[in-house]
Amino acid sequence: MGRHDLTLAKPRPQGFIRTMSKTSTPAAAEPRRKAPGASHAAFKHVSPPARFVDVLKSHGHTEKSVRALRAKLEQMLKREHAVAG
Amino acid sequence: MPSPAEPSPAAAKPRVFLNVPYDDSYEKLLVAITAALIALGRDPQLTFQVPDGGQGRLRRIFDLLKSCPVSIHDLSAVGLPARFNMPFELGLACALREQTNAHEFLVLERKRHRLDRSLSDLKGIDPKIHGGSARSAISAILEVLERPSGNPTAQQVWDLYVRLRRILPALKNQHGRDSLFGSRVYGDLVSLGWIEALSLGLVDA
Repeated sequence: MGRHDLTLAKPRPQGFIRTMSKTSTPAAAEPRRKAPGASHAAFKHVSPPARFVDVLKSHGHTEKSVRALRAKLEQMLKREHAVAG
Repeated sequence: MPSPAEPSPAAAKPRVFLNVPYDDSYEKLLVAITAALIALGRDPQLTFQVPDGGQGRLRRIFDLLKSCPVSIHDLSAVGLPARFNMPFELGLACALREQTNAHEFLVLERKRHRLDRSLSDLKGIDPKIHGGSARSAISAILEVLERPSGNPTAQQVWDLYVRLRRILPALKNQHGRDSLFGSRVYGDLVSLGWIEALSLGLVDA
């Protein structure tokens, strides 16, 4: 096994272990570890949707502010369309 | 406004860390990936939303990564000048997955088998190949991420993508920028995307 093969649930070579935290979980106790040879891209991540207001807040918006921005952009697009037309 | 890099339990946040080329030629793919994530009810996060400069930047990037249960890394920019940020951040994600078992990452590439040469350490981790196509990038995201209530169709995501592409030039004008790759422009695009997704019935208020 190559020292960088991160998908296999085997003890790592000593050179890699030296860089690991003392609090790291032993590989044998990790329930979500892939089977040897499994493709990592095969994972599925299921998550309930984020809350609308939380997403807006994390990007510096409220519903009111983003709706105002949308209205402004629509006006700009209409003006540009009228000029082009 | 809370800092996007604020540490928090990853499981509580449907955030997705995006590690992609900051290049105008990548704009359509970033919009496609963003549309897919929004349609899945996720909150995309980019590192340029992390304040630049100073020794604390790496810590803030790592905190942002830790706050996201999933990260997406597109390693298709392999030309010159060499850019090491993307493979470096993928390395952080690998380490996080190894250490916490609470993080998953998806690797994207433009060309099949190229990653075997450019980053052979990743053998055994299959990238999804988008070939530079927005539709393929959307499909890759929909294959890996799921909503408990079921995923939107690729066509529904495409409809959202088309709306975002239509509004983007006006958004860039509004900010006096000619690029999507700025924290205000991108943050506004995500917020507008959620409003559009609401109107398409893809997400709930």
